[in-house]
Amino acid sequence: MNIPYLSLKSLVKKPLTTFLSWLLLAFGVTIVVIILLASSQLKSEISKNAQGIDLVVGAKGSPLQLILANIFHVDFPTGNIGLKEAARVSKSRYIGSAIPLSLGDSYRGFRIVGSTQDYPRLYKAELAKGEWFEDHMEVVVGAEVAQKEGLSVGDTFESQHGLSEDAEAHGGHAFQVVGVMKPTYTVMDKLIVTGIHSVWEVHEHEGEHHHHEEDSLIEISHLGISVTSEEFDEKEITSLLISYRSPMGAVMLPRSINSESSFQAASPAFETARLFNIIGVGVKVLNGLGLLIIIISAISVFVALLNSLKERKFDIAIMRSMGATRRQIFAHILIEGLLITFAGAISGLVIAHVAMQVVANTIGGIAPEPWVILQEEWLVLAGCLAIGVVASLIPAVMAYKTDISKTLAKG
Amino acid sequence: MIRIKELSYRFDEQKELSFPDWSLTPKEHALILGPSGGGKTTLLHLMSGLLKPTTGEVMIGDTCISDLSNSRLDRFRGDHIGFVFQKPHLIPSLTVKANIRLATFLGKTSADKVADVMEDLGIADLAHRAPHQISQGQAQRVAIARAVVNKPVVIFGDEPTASLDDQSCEAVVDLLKAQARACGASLVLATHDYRVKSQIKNHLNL
Repeated sequence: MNIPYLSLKSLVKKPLTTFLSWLLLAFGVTIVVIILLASSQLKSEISKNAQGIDLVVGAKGSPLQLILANIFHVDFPTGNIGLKEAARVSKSRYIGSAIPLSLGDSYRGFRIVGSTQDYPRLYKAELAKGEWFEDHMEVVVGAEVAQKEGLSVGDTFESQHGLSEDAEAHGGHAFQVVGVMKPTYTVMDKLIVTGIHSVWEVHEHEGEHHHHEEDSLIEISHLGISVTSEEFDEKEITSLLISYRSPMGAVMLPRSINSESSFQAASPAFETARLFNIIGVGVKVLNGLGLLIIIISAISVFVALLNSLKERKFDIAIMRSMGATRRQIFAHILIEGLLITFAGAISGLVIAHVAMQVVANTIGGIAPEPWVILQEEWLVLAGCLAIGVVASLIPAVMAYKTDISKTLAKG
Repeated sequence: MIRIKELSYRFDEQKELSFPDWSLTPKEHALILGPSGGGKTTLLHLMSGLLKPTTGEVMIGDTCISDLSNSRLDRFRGDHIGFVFQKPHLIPSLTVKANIRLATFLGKTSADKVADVMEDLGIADLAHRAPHQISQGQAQRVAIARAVVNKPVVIFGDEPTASLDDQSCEAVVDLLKAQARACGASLVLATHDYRVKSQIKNHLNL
């Protein structure tokens, strides 16, 4: 037997009150921790997917949309830009590397990205099977695409125009899978990557047939592609993913592109910060709600202890008559408050992680890690215990001060 | 041995009680008699260290308990003193056995005797019942078990028979006497219950 045992027994004796305090605290902590986990996961997903990309150049429109469509592949592209001008813009001496992207097609909801081999390389993707795309209509699929659609090397499929699942199918242009990537735990796992020419080819109008005029190829070396002069003049791409050559690029490049070309340049860092500002209001409201519930729970712990003290005055006096010291009585009440807050906080943490696991299972895709324990969670736990101390302090002091003789004389 | 000398207790400006000098040999049984409000409970609390006297001293064995610090007094009480009250006042959140175990925990003595004491008092089969599941008479036995389990040098009873019928009254006093004898303790009962007077001859009238 020990003091915590007595406290526990006393909690079990009044299950409804205990349950209410526990429930409130667990619920409050769940809200706060889910927000913590979600925003930390979101931030790490964003930085993982945007690494190595300093600037996205594309058609004018919403800069946030440009970022979402071309880095995270969640929104629709703002439009296309002419290859000729893109080649000119990307020659700037501030640019370290530029990767062209051409979007617009999908296969069962997975986006097909026309690009160069530099694009998967950006995410350090490696091949699990097969080889990288070289020729027309060859694709390499991300790990998740391969797994969900059962695609493997040698399989062929026809793409759909547009980025949604119910989009209209293109007839006659079959892609062939030549490689499957290993999981990178980035957006790359959800993509089908092919050469930029393949995307153009699918979109060519009937009759306007493509001739490989090998002799008149123009090499755009800084984009890593070669095109015919006809293509150079007429073809379009969706965006360029740019990394700066030097920090000076951050100062010069966005301004020069935005003012001197028909394109717009958007910085992922800036736009995602802006995104966080927008959702930040909601996050703050939810966080405030969570904290409010935690405080209400602390009040319920306080009231429960104070109420029980009235009934237990005699028990406490009896315990004192049996040799319990004032300190033991103080600890008895304090531990009772702490046990309930500790149980509530731990349950809240567990529920939050389980909820993240459920969310991760449902949305699939970019791998959230629901069981990573953040440092802030220890803070939440410590905070709850502190609140538990505050809530049980006054009842504990009152118990400490119980006048045993007077109480016993009344009984 | 218990001895009180020049003992008085002041409640407030108007009310002060003083008590005659009195002593008790080891293992002796005695009653403190007197009308309600005459100071029986106050004397009991002074003698057990639940109250600090305004003047005078209380000796239990070789210890002058009026000189002990608060925490040493708590220790002393747990170790050497057993209490029985008018009502059993068992801790409702604990089982019968845990209630008796609590006395050994707070008195810092071994829990080995718990089973024996329960056997002695005929409450062994109530061990895992909750206090609200047993009768008043059984609960009073548990309270007595709780008072004697630490083998105290003195057992104090504050009106232990007041709410009992004649039959139970006699049984409880017999039980207290037998238990006090068994653990070699003095027995001091504060009461205004005439039924008890015939059972214990040594009286202190207030």
